[in-house]
Amino acid sequence: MKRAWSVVFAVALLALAMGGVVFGLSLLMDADLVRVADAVFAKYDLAKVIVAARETLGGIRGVLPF
Amino acid sequence: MQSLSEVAVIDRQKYIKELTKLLSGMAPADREAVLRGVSARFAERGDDDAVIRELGSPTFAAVQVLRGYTPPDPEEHPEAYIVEQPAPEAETPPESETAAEPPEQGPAPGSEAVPQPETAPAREEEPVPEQTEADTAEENAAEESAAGEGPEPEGEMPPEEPDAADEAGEAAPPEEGPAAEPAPAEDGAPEDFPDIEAILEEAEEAAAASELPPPEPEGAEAGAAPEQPPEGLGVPVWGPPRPRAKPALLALYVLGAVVLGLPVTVLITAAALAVLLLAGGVLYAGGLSISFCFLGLTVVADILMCAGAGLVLVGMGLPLACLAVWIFVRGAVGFVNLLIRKGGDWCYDHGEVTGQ
Repeated sequence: MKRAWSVVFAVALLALAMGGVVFGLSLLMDADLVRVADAVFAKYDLAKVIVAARETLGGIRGVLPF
Repeated sequence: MQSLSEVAVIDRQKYIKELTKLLSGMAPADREAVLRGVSARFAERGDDDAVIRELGSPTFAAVQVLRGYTPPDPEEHPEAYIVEQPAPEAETPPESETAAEPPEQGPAPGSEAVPQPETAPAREEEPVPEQTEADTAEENAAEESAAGEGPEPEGEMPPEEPDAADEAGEAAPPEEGPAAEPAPAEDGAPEDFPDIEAILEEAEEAAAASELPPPEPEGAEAGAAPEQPPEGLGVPVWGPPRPRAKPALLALYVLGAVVLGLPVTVLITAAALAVLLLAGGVLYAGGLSISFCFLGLTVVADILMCAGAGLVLVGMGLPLACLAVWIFVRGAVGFVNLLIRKGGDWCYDHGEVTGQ
């Protein structure tokens, strides 16, 4: 069990490290989030998903006392 | 089974000598019984080669005899070991006699129609030791019969008959030669011969019987159990004392545990579920971000950004998922276990410390 935990944490750390390096590299290479969003929205119709997510969050907030 | 060369070369005298050496681990009385039996078989059959072929090589015969043989306890049956000294002495004289006696044995070697001229002296020698062996065997038999128990091999061979039988039977058969023939016919020596296989079987049976748990202890326990209570000591306790519940405290504790413990457990479980949901969302977002790499982005920097963001999200989601599992196991399950353990400690009377 302990070994399983250590394996999971090792994988997570590796992913974090690689992701950080790759993300930093992309920023250095002038990556643009708007271009990515355009490509995504061109491919998927995410408007409905966003609306559904907002409605869900609003519903949860209405239920919660705070 | 046996090596033919060994069988072919060896004769009766050497066979018995070799067998005596190999059986030196046995109690002398048992060994003598076996050797007497072998000698009797030789005397009975007359054909040494045939007997040796039947018995196998001395080593084989010794292994057959010794397998499953348990020497009697020297303390219980000292008589079986007292013979130790005379036995070798009794066996050695034949050698000296063999040297001395052949001249007397003139006629026997003369009858060369008989396969082995050497066997004649050998057979003549035997009566001398046999008498001493017979005496010791008689003593042993008397002692054993007094004790009512004895090693198996001796039990197989009624000591008194063989003595007479062996004396006559082994002294008599001094050859298939005509002069010798009247004597061997005389006895029941063959009947007394302790077959090696029979010895082996009985030894195995005895070993098996000794391995069986004696019925006495059960009967003794069964008999002792009812006896003890009247003495006022109570029923004997063989294990740790069973804890006795304190009913009032137990009821209170169960009530408190349910009232307080249930909500806490539910809260901890809900927290674990929330963390798990969060971890699931993060992992999902990471996977989605990585999938954007394959949307057909034209700029490498954009692809790297999607991949990097996805990896970071996955890297965050994995520990979150583990955290959720940890919260549930250590929080909810651990809390319930703690409640149960403390309830056992507080609400049950364990009496004295029950040990570790």
